[in-house]
Amino acid sequence: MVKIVVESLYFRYPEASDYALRNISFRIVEGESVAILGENGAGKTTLAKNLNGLLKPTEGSVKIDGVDTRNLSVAKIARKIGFVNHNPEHQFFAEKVEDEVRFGLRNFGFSEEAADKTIREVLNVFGLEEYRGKNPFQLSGGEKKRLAIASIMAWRPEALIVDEPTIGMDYAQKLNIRRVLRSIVSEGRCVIVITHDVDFAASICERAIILSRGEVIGDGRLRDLLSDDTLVEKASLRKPFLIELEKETGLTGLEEDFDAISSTLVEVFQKCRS
Amino acid sequence: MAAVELRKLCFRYAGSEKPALTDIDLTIEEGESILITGPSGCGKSTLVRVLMGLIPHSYPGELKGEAYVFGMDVKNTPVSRIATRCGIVFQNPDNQLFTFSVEDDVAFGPENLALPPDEIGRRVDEALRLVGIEHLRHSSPNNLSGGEQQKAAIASILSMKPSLLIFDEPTSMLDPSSSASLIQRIFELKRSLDETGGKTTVIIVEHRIDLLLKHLSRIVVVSEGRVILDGDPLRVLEDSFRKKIPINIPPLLQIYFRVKDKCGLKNPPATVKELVSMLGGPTSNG
Amino acid sequence: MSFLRAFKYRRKDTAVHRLDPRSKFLLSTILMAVSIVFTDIRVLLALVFGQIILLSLAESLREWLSSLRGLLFFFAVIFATQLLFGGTLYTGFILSLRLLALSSSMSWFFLSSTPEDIGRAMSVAGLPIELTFSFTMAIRFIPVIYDEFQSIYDTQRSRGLELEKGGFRNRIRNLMPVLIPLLVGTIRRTYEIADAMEVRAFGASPKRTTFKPLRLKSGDYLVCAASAILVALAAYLKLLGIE
Repeated sequence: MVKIVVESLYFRYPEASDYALRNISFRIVEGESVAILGENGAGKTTLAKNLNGLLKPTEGSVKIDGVDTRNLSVAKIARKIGFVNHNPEHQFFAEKVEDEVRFGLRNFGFSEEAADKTIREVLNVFGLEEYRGKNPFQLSGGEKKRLAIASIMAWRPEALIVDEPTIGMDYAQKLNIRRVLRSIVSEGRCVIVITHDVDFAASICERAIILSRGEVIGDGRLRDLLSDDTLVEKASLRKPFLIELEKETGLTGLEEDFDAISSTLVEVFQKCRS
Repeated sequence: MAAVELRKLCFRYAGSEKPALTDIDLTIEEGESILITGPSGCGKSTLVRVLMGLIPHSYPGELKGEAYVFGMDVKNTPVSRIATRCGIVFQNPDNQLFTFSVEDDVAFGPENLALPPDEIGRRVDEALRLVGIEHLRHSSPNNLSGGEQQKAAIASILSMKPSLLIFDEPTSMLDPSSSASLIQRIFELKRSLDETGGKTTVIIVEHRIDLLLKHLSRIVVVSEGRVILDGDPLRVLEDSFRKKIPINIPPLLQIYFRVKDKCGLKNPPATVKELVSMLGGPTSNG
Repeated sequence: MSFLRAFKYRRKDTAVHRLDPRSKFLLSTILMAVSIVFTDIRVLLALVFGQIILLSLAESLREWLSSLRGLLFFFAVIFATQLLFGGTLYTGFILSLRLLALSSSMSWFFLSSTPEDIGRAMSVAGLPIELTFSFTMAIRFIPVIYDEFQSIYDTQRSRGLELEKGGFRNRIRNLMPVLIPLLVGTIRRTYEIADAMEVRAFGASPKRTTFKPLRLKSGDYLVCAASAILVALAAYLKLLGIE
């Protein structure tokens, strides 16, 4: 199963005068759910592209299951580590939703029968079966996002990197994407979410890696890191609502279920009164 | 005269079967700060395009009903006329700046209006000052951050001296801190324009209600091309909550609406701390 | 592509940069014309030498030098065709020198003029605003579209696309997953840009004013005078029978 080891990674874009990433080391093992957090320009996407070989380290190394990404083709890595672009329209080219999913399967040498079966399954899981013959560009924003993720998950990569999954999404769409990502985590696959939406990250990921100006300024349990006021401020982030609520109330283990939270609060309130 | 007046407005894009807008009745008075929100694809962006006259002039389709902006009938007023009273900032800042310096972009509108050069100069100075980006005057849009680009886009609308400012999801490409700073700047701008005797109307289309709430005079909720709620911000949010309309009601309010009757809360809390103290303080102490 | 770097504008504050684009354009055109009509080695050397001075005044010698590496390829082609079709090494040298003079006359102009200045010069020259604006916008959006291309290409590579794989036909087919999203994205962008221009009253008045009208300064008169002298000198040399 997949293991990503990053060691003293430095990265600089060609012609850039300064490093975009500096001295980054961490490892991600199978089944982990990791949020990469930080403000725009902190280097989140650059880091993600180093994790799947789209970019190669300027110094230091990134190893996938022990092999340096410099010695692997992007396609080889992609078979294990899927990457979903922040803009789903950057990947659509087929006339039909099903062919959009078929593209990756064909590239990775699935037989036509196997591909057909997989397409049926994955569209079903992602709630897109009714759009099978539709043009991807005619889907709504949330459906496009789900199709983008489905077209990667089709070949069952062991890890998935998702860049800014909540950008431009409304509340209902966010809940849908959250459900999809959580189900991938519960299968024991590794999910790496790049985002600045702290509430969303907190609802999916156990661990967080916080970047600021190309450096890791925090790596650990997401709840611990995002309860730390100084760290949160340094990374221009915000405390997730639930973590703040836990801190203020002394309650623990709150889940994003406002009905449950509210009844707990009411109970506590009534106890106070009596 | 109302800033915006829509009566039984319907619009269907050419080539589409479903109408994008149906029977919209909406009046917006001068000086209001209004949020238009609703699920994605509900017709918000179409609505603001009507206000600018881009619909029907640039987008073919079938427009019925009446639409007036400061008394101008959008059906037969050219966009360039409407643009002198009404300005819009779109979501993608990249596509709103066409030149190689912020200053030239800010001058672009007034140049099109064929104003005399010294008047344009004055307007450019003022617009840059109002948005607080004088230091970026000579920067190229390619070298600006998303937040800075969006401020430059606002300045290039301000130089047209509009009295109605429309923002169509201006923060959707920005991170939380740039979004907060942009929203802050928008309403500071309204205040400073109002101080100099104007009456600026702000219409903002957004998903991020939490950042905006304290600045609004009214919220309009659009769903499937219809206005389904319209009125006092807190009331509208509570109604949306009761009717389970999928808009981003801030979590704090979601809890407030659930507990307020049982716990007898009168006013909504502004922070988590406030909510907890309204409910009798931290549980560990109680 | 390093060759193209010799034509990319860089913001600098030099006497050459401050010149009016019209006078620069005039001088550049005349230098080009002279490079084309003469084959005499002395004239060509003098031209290149003169342009090196211009380039150093514009503090752009380094960019120009880096472009020479790209020109080497063209020099090689010139020598090869000369030798293949019965020319001599000397004619190959002359033709290369002429190419160098020609490309330098464009180089210092583009290095020192903003795309907007060029657009302004174009509209002063009587070209319609739509045309000059398309020109400056094309330059403005090239890097933006290039970034979009990179993002699309990366996305498709991480779906297993390998452009280098297969024969010619396959490669062309492989380009589709990159070209289609790029095309769709660019069309959408064009609409958004058009909307943004319209709401800023583009086309409102047939007589658009400019915020920073072009004004000829003393330096510009000097350049114009130099251009005139250059033309006279060239004519005189031709009369003397110098080719």
